[in-house]
Amino acid sequence: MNNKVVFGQYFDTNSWMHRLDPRTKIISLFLLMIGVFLIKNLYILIGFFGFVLLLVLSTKIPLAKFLKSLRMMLFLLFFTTIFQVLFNKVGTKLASFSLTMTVLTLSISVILLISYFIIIKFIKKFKLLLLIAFMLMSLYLQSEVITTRVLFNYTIEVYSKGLITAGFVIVRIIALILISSLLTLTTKPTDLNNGLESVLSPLEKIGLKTSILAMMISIALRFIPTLINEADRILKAQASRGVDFKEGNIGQKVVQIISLLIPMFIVSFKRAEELANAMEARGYIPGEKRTKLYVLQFKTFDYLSLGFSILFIIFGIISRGYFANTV
Amino acid sequence: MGINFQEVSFAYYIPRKKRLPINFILRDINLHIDFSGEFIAIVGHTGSGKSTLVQLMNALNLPTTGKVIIDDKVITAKPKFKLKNIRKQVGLVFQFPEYQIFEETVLTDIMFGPKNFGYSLEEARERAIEAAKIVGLEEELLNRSPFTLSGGQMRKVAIAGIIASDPQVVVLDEPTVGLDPKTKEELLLFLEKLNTEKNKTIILITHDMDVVGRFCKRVIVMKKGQVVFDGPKNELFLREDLKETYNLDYPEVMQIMRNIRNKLNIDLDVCQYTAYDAYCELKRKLGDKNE
Repeated sequence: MNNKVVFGQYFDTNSWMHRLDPRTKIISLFLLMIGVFLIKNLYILIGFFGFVLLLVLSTKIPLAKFLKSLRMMLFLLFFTTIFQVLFNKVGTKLASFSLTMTVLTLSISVILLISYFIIIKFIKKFKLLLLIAFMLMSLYLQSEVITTRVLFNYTIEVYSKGLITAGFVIVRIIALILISSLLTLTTKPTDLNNGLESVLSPLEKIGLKTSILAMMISIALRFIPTLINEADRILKAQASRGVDFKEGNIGQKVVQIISLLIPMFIVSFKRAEELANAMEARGYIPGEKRTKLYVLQFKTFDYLSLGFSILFIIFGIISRGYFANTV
Repeated sequence: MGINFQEVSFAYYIPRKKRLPINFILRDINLHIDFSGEFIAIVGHTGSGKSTLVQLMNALNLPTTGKVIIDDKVITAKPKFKLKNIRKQVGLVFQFPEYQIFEETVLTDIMFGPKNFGYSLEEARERAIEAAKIVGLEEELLNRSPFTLSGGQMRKVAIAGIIASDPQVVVLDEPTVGLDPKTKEELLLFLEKLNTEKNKTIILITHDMDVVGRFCKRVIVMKKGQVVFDGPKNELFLREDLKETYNLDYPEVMQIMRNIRNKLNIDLDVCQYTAYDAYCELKRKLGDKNE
């Protein structure tokens, strides 16, 4: 197994955002996220989106990294848009299409669907684009080809409100994803964890042991590569006992997974026990006050960023009164 | 019939960009290992590629360049046939094999391998019982949960799980690490028995030169991903520059014999690996002199 198992998305370009205190980033980006939901005016939202894009560009991280996390949400975006456009019937009517489903068009649509699934077996990229293309083809057929055997008629109507809401949802989701990616791309998992611990520390007063929680998270992060190596080893060990993980019916698959899971459980418990003993031997007492090797410290720029974020939120709240809501 | 390595190089990871250098773990390995009767030790420093090499022997790793030929089946980077049958012929026992145990009873866990390799339930049971006998597990243990056993017994169960599918070659990656002396001795003795009585080829990865001296016939020395020595153990241990070139030690008994030879300046056969053999040799040579 190669030892370069990278967890988290951290990408180092040493930009100003990388150098910010993790606490600043957590608080500011959290405030920005709230801001996304406060804004109800389309123009302000677009302005805000431009600001987020500026932030993204200022980190000098390749845009492909951001697009990667956007791609995971593509289906969600696609379907919310479709639903908003089709079912929101408020505002002025912009367009309507009357479609007729006949025996002929139905069968052609089914053929199109089947051919889509065959094609994506060979072409791995642009699946969503292909799906949209095939759906449009089917819709076009239904609007143009009218033969005698009509099954049913229906109309698709697009209203202004639907379009605006769809736009809103898209911009909001993209902005949210970009903001959260900003945090994970510019902060190391360990720093993130330290920052979270510090930000959540007021909760200690009501009895929530955040330091223990943070320790748990950092241990979990630390052991991901170790456990991956372990899993790889057990996988190979079972393969040399004749387990073929690539094939088998459902019954065999269950046995295969059990043969991997049980040893993994045993190894993890053993490791946990050893680690607990080692930690106690070095004087770790859960919940006790601990000092840190690297103490987080706010710098001028941190205060500036925080101040700006708070101003932003205030502006967001005030703007709700002065600008007309578009949603 | 055997395992043939032809110009085998291996890397875990090939960078997608062509101009980046490939980090080869193994380079230009040429080896021939017979299917019957060999007892080989693979020695070398940590990180010299020993474990990677043995994983090539049963196609858990596939060669990046070159060919591994196992019993006339040619394995290249992209083999076109099922690798399962190769794993039946060459059984590989990993380091700390007790972690691969998962079944409810010792017997079913030993049966797991044979069942996967297509033996019927009855046959698998027979083979499992036989394998348990070979490794010296008492019969009353067979119906217990493997997780109630001691570490040494668990390792025996795991090794029995490999032997049960009757491979021609048994490869063991540091099988004696962390065992008590008695279990270690038992383990090595049944490996020797397997080698002499059933004519199996045994390959051991080990750091223990005493084990190499006592049990093995041939030694392969690895260094930085290359085979730097391959030959009979006496040839290796008779070299005077063992420490400098290969960073290896002489077996304990042999070290004593060498010291005696150098001190007394007599013609001794220093290739003795047990205390008793050494005693006989000394008696023969020194006895002559005294008389």
